[in-house]
Amino acid sequence: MVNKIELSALVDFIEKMPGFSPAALKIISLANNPKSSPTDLVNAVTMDPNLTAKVLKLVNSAYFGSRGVASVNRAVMLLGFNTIKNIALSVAVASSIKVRDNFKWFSNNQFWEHNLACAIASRNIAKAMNVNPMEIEEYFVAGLVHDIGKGALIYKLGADSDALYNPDFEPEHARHEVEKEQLGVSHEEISGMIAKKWKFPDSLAAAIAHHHNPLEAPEQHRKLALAVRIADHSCHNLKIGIQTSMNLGNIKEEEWSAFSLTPEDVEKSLSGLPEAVESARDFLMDLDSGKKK
Amino acid sequence: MQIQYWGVRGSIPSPGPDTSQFGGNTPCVEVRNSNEPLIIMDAGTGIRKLGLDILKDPAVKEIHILLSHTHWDHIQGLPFFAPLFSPKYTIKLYGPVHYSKNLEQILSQQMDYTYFPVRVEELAANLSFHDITEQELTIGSTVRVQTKFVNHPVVCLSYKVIANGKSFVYLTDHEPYRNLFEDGDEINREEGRLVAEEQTAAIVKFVEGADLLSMDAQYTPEEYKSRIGWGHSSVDYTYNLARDAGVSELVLFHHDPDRTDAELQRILSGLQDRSWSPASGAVPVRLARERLVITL
Repeated sequence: MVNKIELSALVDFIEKMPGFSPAALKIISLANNPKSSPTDLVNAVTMDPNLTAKVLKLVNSAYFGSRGVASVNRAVMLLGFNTIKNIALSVAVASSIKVRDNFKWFSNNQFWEHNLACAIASRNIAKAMNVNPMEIEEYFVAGLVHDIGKGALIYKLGADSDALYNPDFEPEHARHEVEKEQLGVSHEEISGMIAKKWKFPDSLAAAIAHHHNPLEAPEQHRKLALAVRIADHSCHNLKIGIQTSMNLGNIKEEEWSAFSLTPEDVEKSLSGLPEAVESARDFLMDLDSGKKK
Repeated sequence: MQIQYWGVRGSIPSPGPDTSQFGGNTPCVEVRNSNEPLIIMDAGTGIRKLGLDILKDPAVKEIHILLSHTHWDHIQGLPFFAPLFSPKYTIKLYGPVHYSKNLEQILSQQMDYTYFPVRVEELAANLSFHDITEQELTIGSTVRVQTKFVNHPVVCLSYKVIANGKSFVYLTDHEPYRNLFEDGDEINREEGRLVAEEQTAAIVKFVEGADLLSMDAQYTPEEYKSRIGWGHSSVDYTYNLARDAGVSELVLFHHDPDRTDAELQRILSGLQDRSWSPASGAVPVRLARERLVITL
C-alpha cells in the first residue's frame, strides 16, 4: 500500500522533472545547426511529452494566457521560429541532465514510446473523425502529454510505484481507480492539474484530465478526450510501449457512438502505427543529421 | 492626436549626405493627445532629440514609451533620453513579454557598465517596466492602446492608439506570414497554410479603418525576394495591406539604411504613378521623415 501523497508537492515536483527521451539531445543538435528548419524542430520537440508540455507551458504562460496555444506548430507560426527554437533549447538543456534510473516496472523508454504512439494514434483518429485541419495537431499533443501526471507520479513515488504498476498484480478495477484508492488521486487527475497550472488551453487540459472517461469532459472537449481514450486503448491493445497491465476497460458503446466512430475506422487509421513509432525512434537517434531522413 | 516622427530608419543609424532629407535616426515616433500623457513609440536614436524637446515643455510629466521589440535599432537611443535623468518625470516602459527575461533585465543589459557609463539603477526618473502581450492598455484617462503580435524574428508588437475618435496604428518590423511547414507532412502543411491565412487576416483586421497607418516598408519587392525571413515588408505588401484594410492614410516607415533620399522619392513616385485610382480605394501615401508632423 502506498501512502497518500500531497498534491501540491507533486505538482511542484513536476517542474523539476527531467526529460524522458533523446529528444532533448536532438533539439540541442538542431538548435546549433543553422540549416535546421521549423519542421525539423517541431518533429524533435513533439516526440517527447515532457519537452512538448514544457514548451507549451512557457509559450502559454508567457505569451498567450487563457487564449491558449495547443500545438507547437502554431506556436512557431505565431511567435516565430527563433523564439520557439530558443524556448525549446532552454527546455532541452534543462532536461538533458541524467535521468533517474528506471524502476522495476517502469522504463523511460517504454513510457516515451507509449506516449508517442498515443500521439500519432490520436492524430490519425482525429483524421478519421474529420477534425478541422487547424485542430489536428492539438490531438497529437493531447495524446503525447496525456500521461504526464503518471510520469510525475512515478518519479515522486520512486520505488514505491512498483507496487502500483507491478504487472503480476492484475487489478479488478481499472488501474486509474486503483491509483485513486491507494493514493487518493489518479494519474489523469494529476495530468489535468499540471495542465491547468501550466496554463494549457482548456481543451487540452480537459482532454487529458478525462482520458479515461471522455464523456464526462465538458461537452466541447469530449471529442478530443475521446480520441485520446481510444488512442490510449489501442496502443495498449497493440502493446506499443507497454509493460504493465492497465485494464483500461473496453471502449463503451456510447463512446463509439458519441462521434459515430467504429472499431473498423480506428483499426484502419492505425494500420501504420508500429512503423511510424519505429521511424520516430530512428529520427531521434540520428543526432548528427539536421534533416529528417 | 498629433504624431511626430523623430527616427524613421531601420536597422542602424545612417547619417550622411544621401539620407539628410528623410533622416538617418532609428525608429522613434511621438504621439500627443491633448491633456493626456505623452506616448512614444520605440526608443531608437531619434529619441535623443525628442528627449531634449521634452525638457523644454513644462506640461510633460508622464511619459509612456511603447517598444515594439528590443532589437538594437529600437532601444539604442534610450540611454540618451534626457528625461530619464530627471526626477521630474514618471516614465513607463512597455515591451513584449519574453519567456525568460523581463523588460527591465533586457534594457538593463544594454546599460551594463561595459556598454554605458550610467546604470539603470542610477536613473533619476520615476521609472517602471511593463511586460505586455496582446492586450488593451489605458493610458491617462481616455487613451486606449491595443496590441497585436506581428511576424518578426523576435516577438514584436504593433500598437493601435485610439483617442478622441481617431486611431493611429504603428506597425513596424513585420513581414507577411507564410507557411513555415511547407516541408512538413500533409497535416503540418495544411495547418501552417491555415494559420498563415488566419494571421494575415488578423493583421488586416487590426489595421482596419485606421486614420493613419505607419508601417514598415523597408524593401522593394525585388529586394524582399532575397530577404524572406528577415522580418520586414516590401513597399507593395505594405501598400496593399493599407488598401485592403481601408486605412485613411499610409506612412512608409523603417527605411532601409542603404536607401538614399532620391531612391525613396522614386519609390513614392512609383506608387503614386500606378493605376490605383481613388475609386479602387487608393490610399494616400507619404514617406516618413524626421520632424514630419501629422495631426488627426
